[in-house]
Amino acid sequence: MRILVADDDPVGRRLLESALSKSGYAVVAVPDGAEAWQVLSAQKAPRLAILDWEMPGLSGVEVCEKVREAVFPLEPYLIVLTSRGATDDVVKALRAGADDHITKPFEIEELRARVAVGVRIVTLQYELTERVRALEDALAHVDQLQGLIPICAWCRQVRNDGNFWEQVETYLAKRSGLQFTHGICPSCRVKEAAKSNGPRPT
Amino acid sequence: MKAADFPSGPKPVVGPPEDPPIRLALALRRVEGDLDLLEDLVKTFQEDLPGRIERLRAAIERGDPQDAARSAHSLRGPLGILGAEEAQALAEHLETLGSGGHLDEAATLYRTFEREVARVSAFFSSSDWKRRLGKSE
Repeated sequence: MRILVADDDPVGRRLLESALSKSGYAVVAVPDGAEAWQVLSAQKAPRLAILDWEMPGLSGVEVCEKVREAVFPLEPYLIVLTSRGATDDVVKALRAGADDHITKPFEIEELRARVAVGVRIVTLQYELTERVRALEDALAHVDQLQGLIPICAWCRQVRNDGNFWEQVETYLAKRSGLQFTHGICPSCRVKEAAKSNGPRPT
Repeated sequence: MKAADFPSGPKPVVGPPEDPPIRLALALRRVEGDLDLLEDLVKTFQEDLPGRIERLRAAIERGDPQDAARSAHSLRGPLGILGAEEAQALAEHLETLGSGGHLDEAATLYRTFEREVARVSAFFSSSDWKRRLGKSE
């Protein structure tokens, strides 16, 4: 998974990059909030970001606000990193849209544990989105099988949405994933046998 | 230095002059024992330090307390990572003074801070710290 790191301190940025790379993440590192916002608002943006609070231009908290105001198909998980540890500061970061808050100087194991939580959340979010999409697709098919279906009273062909007549099994198979095996019912077997044998001589 | 020399804000950790400016064990813990990484961080710190110090000095000189606070804040992070606890505490105090608009006190404290940061820089400029950690040149 790709993770964005935004910190104007090159020492801190390098340490974050190293710690996350050692855990197997691909890291995108930027030195300020404006670049962080550019990366997060681009296509195929990293799903998780660690944002230093105090940065020139856009602060980490301001980046959180911009992210939450925008519409994303999948919301990124945002962690704010700061030496501010007062309750008011934590509340401010969370209310701005941060999902978590780490106090500097951080212990690497704590950083990794909190990032792992974020990864778990975004993975669950992705899986849920995919399930909803699959359910919506299935529901669309169900809708097509409801309502009046025009069917020929004689041959039992069905008129489809394109106004063409097709076999009923073809019609149902396209819209429901049903499969058919063909046989002959007892009453049809009797009728066919009677046709083959012809009228009995008197 | 006595605690009374710092009229307000958190009291820095001030020890006798002969105390090393860096807690190497702490720095090593920050990098999980990765000496190559520590060396890389030190190099980055040394390259970045003059600009940050100058920005802090200039902010105090022109009487810009908010920029002084921001500049001091920007130094806390790397000093903390590298185990420079005394320098980090002085930076935190400078940040507090700047935020509160106490530029005269900040100017006084800045001289102490500058000396301490010079000790930090000199410590990392020598090869002794690497030898102490068992790293070859």
